[in-house]
Amino acid sequence: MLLNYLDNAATTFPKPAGVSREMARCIEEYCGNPGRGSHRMALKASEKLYEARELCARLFFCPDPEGVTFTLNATYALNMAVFGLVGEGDHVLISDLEHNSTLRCVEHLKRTKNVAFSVFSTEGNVQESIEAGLRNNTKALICTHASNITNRVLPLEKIGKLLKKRGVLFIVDASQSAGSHKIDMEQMEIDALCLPGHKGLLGPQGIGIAVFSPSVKPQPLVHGGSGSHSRLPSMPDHLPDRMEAGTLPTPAAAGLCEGIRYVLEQGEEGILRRETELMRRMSGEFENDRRIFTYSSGDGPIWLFNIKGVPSQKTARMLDSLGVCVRPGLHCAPLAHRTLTTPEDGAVRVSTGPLTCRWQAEHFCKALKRVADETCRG
Amino acid sequence: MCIATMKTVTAAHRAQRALAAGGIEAQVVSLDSTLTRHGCAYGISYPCKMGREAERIMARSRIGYGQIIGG
Repeated sequence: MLLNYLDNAATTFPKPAGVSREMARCIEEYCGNPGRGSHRMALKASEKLYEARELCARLFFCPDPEGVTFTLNATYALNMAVFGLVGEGDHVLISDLEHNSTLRCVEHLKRTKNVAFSVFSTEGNVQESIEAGLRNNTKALICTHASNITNRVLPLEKIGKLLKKRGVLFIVDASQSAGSHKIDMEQMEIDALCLPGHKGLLGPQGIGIAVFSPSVKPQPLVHGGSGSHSRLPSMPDHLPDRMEAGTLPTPAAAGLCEGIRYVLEQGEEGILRRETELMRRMSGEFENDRRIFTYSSGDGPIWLFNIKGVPSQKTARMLDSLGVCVRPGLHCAPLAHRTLTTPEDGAVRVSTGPLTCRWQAEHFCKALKRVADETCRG
Repeated sequence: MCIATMKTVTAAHRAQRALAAGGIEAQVVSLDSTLTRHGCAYGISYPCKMGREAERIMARSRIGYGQIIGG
């Protein structure tokens, strides 16, 4: 049976060939402990990590590669930024499209640090919504760049400029946009940019990135060995060491370098255009099919839908039996699902990636028609 | 060779790239912990005869360094 992977919003597959090749080379040839010791393997490993920092800085227009810090995934990166920059008694604003990686952080801060949070609407004029939500003690605005269940993209530059004027920190979750949308940290006035390595940057799982602008000094989330200033009883003052306790995943960073190179070669605009074109083919095929209810337009790399009267889990299971991998449910984003008014058990998400092929769109359409025929019969 | 001490291995790699771009061959080196106040540390080594140029490049690139050893 054909394997038709269309769950790229969860993690991209396949990856460019160079990713696994460089990871294997790293493990076989230079996987010392970066920043620990002076032998050639340790230095070679730290050089590879630096290469990954440089590539991230280049992709996101961050003036200083030392502001690029590595962690496990986007959730850890968001935890680092949110817990590192928001403190006792502060107020924060979040959008109505947030993933649990943001929502649960602010809920935890509310319970443990007396931090209040408000939710701004992404419908209509977003800036007006934000203006209305700002308070005198608003410390930060945390928002996704692109939703993980719709193709809605927030106007980061406008938001950043507004926040800069008001002295509010700007923390951005770029989990769904990095690699397919241009992100310019300086122009967008972003203070902390959080993202995974394994989605649009086409790296492996196991590496996340938090990029801090030179103007912020986050408190560390994890404490331990940093490979520098070992006599100090606390984490060093400077980035990236301040935020990177413990051994970093060099093989994952090696793979990430190749993923980012692919993105730089293809260009974010070209990648998004291709992903969108394939998604339009798929969603467009069902535009006039009255058995299908669509929650997001399919005018981007994501299409969210349900077969009317059929639980999303059942649709996904039936598609899987035909070789199609899609994700049903709430996608760890109950707030965003509430905003889109999906049913209790959520909806089916189909998502294209940079290496999705044309045959996959055709195969998916046939499979979904078959599932709709079977479930809607009689 | 001269060595400029750096606060992190990341800063040392950054300095190496900046010096290489300026035509100075430099190496990242680990320093004996007795050479620094806080234990493990790294540095960047380069020919002493290029010292002045190296310092100028690092200053222009806003790369902070500690003491210069040797020369």
